[in-house]
Amino acid sequence: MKKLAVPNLGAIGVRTTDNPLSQSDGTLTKSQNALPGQVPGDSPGLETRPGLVEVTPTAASGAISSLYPFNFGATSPVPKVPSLLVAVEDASNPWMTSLNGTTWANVPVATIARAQSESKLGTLAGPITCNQGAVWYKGALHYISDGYTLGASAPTVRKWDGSTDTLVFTIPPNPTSGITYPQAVTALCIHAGYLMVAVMESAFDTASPYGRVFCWDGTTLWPFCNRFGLAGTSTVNLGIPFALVSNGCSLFVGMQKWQDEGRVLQSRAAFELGIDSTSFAWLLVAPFASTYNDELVTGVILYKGDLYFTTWVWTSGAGITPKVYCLSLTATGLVTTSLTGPASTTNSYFCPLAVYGGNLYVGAYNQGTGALEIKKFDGATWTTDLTVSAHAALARFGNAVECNSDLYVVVAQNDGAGTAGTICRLHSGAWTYVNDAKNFRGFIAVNPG
Amino acid sequence: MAKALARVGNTLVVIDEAGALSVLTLPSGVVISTSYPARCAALLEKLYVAYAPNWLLSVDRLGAILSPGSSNFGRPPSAPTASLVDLGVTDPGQYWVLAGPRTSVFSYSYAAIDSDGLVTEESERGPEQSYTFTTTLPAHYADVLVTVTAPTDPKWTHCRLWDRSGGGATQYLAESVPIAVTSFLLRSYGASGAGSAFAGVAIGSSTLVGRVRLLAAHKDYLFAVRDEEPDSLRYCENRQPTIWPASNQIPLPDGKRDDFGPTAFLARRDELAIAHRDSIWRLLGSSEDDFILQRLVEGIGCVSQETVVTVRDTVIFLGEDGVYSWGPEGVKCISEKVRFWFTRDTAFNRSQFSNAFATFDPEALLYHLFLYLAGSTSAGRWVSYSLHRDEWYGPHLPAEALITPSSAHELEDASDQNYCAVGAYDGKLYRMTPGTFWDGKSVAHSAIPVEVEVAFHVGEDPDVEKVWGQLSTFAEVQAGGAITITPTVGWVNAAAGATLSHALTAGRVRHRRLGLGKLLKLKFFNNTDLYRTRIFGYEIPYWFRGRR
Repeated sequence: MKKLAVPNLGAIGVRTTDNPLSQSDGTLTKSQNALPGQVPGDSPGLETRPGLVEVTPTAASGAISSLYPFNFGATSPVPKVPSLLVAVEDASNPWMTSLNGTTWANVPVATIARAQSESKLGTLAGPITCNQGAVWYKGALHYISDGYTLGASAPTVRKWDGSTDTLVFTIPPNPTSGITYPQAVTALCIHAGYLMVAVMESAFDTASPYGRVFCWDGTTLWPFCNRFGLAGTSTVNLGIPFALVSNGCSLFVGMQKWQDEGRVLQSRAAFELGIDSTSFAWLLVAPFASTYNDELVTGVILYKGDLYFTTWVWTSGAGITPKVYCLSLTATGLVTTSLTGPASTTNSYFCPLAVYGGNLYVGAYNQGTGALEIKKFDGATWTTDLTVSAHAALARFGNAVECNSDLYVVVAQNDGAGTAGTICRLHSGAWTYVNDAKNFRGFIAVNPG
Repeated sequence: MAKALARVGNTLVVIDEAGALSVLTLPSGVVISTSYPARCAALLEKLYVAYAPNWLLSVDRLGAILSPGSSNFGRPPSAPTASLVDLGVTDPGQYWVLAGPRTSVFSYSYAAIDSDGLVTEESERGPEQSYTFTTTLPAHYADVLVTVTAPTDPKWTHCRLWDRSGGGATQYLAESVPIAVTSFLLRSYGASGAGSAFAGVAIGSSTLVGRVRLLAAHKDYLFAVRDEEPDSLRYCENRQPTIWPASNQIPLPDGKRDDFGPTAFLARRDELAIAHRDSIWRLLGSSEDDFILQRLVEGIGCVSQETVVTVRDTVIFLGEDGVYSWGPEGVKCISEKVRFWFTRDTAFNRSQFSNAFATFDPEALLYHLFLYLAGSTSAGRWVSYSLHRDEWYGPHLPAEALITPSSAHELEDASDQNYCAVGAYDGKLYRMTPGTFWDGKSVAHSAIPVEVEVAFHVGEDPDVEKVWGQLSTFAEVQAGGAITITPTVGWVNAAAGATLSHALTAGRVRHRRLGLGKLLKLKFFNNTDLYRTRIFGYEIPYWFRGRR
């Protein structure tokens, strides 16, 4: 027996020849839309060429010809100085900003409008505010605005471009549910160059909670998902999209539904507009079994190629504990429990914070003891990295960002009076509180400068 | 700040790093042709634009102010009604400088100027006229329009503008292009800070006209070839791109030996060359005192300026019969392995090679050459040359039927990272985006169809019948998707066999036996927009028939 082996397809490129019998094994005669892997000297085979992704939001009036770079506007590069922006539950000064994380300044409402109050989330708010509500997108801070009245007007997203604060879009009525005024925007996320927007249409503790996901391309708001349903079933209301994360290819959505199981959904394609239960395009990548009842998804995050999602215990009961789950993205559907929280304690939860320094950080709240902790996972072992001390039980985790090589975690508070919030900074392995005793909303973002 | 300039129809457009388009306002008399590409060169923080415009233009650092790049050179043969004089240079050694917002007093004369730029006769200066520059600081500019009366005597070829501001001596200020000119537009720039300074216009003469076909910047000069004068290489004064003396020219030996004339500038390291379709000349010297041309190569040339890409110290360009490089080892062909692409009409429309264009992918070290499909009049295909593998791949095609490339160039994004940009006939700019497996817009796109064919495997001896065993294929593991494999077993004219499928959730798949035949060929196909297709390789056992 002889063996013909071509272990590195693409090492030899295309040949044009009149003699089909003269070519070496592995020679290509056609390589349509396939290019060699991009590591010089490596043997990575042939792969799909880079996609042609539209850059211009608006088409020119004719063919674009004769492209030339035009890069000499600045004779010397101006160093970019990133700054932090954090939302505060304060009508007069709804944001604070800092260049160094130590010295903070109020940003008045005339400069940036108020971010969405936690009260807009109703019962969904619960003890957590970890959903991403402010992101830097296309040169501006985009944030969930508080500029609407529950039941009387629709939620909005605004942006601040460094000088001007403007309305970006208003969430439209839901043609399926008949809901005119959706209740709240629950999360923002950048996915494939678009700003994704998760919306809760109705309170989550109803029999048929409605939710949608939109995408914003800078000029148009597109419905990305009109209704979360399961293909081939009568189940059309899987809950409220609460958390979003993108791996660049798929969008993952963490769902919450009261007295029901949580779920994690994955879009099959990067974009398929207007999908619902009759044209279902979601993969139910983490279908919770009955034992997962009353574990609601608080957040989703990517770490070392896998999807981690965290849960919140809505009601106490035997065997019901908050957890950190790991969903393998290479072995589809394989869900393992990575970390288990305290048992039989209502409102205890984990929430994802950030991937920083090669470690995964999650927030952990134990309702029974009142402990608010930051857990660290290095891929093998979980440890408690910080116990957020001296803060009232009203405190809860908000968002986390990396800025100037430090990790910042917002500890928020509900929108009542109080000063339980703080900002924790991880610098060179040590945690400090850099902006203490404030009523933070939970949103934090980095202005890249 | 990273922007791009493009020609869109009969307009020039600036594209900012967010993809927003803004159409530049053209000076009076300037027309953008839809028949020619725009060709650009950067010098002294301005981008000079030629060929598409009927007048050599300059775009300033803001990308918004457009003015003729020279007072005369490259202007249209029929003069516009106003001569715009760009005063945007501030070398006090060469230019007349005034201080402060002020009123200027101008007068003009008529002059007869010969082809060498010499004033042979001049009239008396006319009555003085007062104009006030009002400049808003900082760093803004003000214009005044000085109107002159056209002379009636045909011996006067030019108007000359004079200034007597501040009660001092009258100074020569500017010179118009010929007689049809009836006004000067003067522009003064205010410097930032107190006590603004104005830069005056350079004193010089330039009387030649004609559309500039080729343009390049080299050693602080602009070099140009005009349509009317294909056998002359013209250059401006050193660091003074608005001044093109008639004496600044070098004869091009091959300029008129065919219907095409010079076709491209090639620049590498500190060298500039000018190519025809079948010869290349190198410019030696560093100033007007010693510029000379030397033949670099005969029988090889460039067919399209837009295919010229400089990578490090090597220039890559499309010639009549293939792709060539000019580097430290001289000029050599790099497309011998795929020679038939460029010497036969089976793959590409060779009559459209002059409209081909190219770009370079700095991450993957790939030269992408966009060509017209055989029988087609639009650039619907491209091929890729890997610099580090010295291999060719393709031809590629867009997945979206609406995307037909019309231009390409390496641009910078908002993070100052270079990327391959592709302009298209649909008026949109596209970015070659690694990790994206579709073409188009995120909300409306098509999966990229990957199709790979390998040459016939002869199994040592093409004339011996063989038993081809179970095929094993290796690919990168993905969460979904599948590759369709089509084997062909038999002689070269054998029909394709039943297809096989490699599910991408598995890294290795072992397929059925492929059967009996002298030769074997495989084709791989996939077109999912969600998962990358990365084929590592394959192996297959075989036996000569009747032997074990």
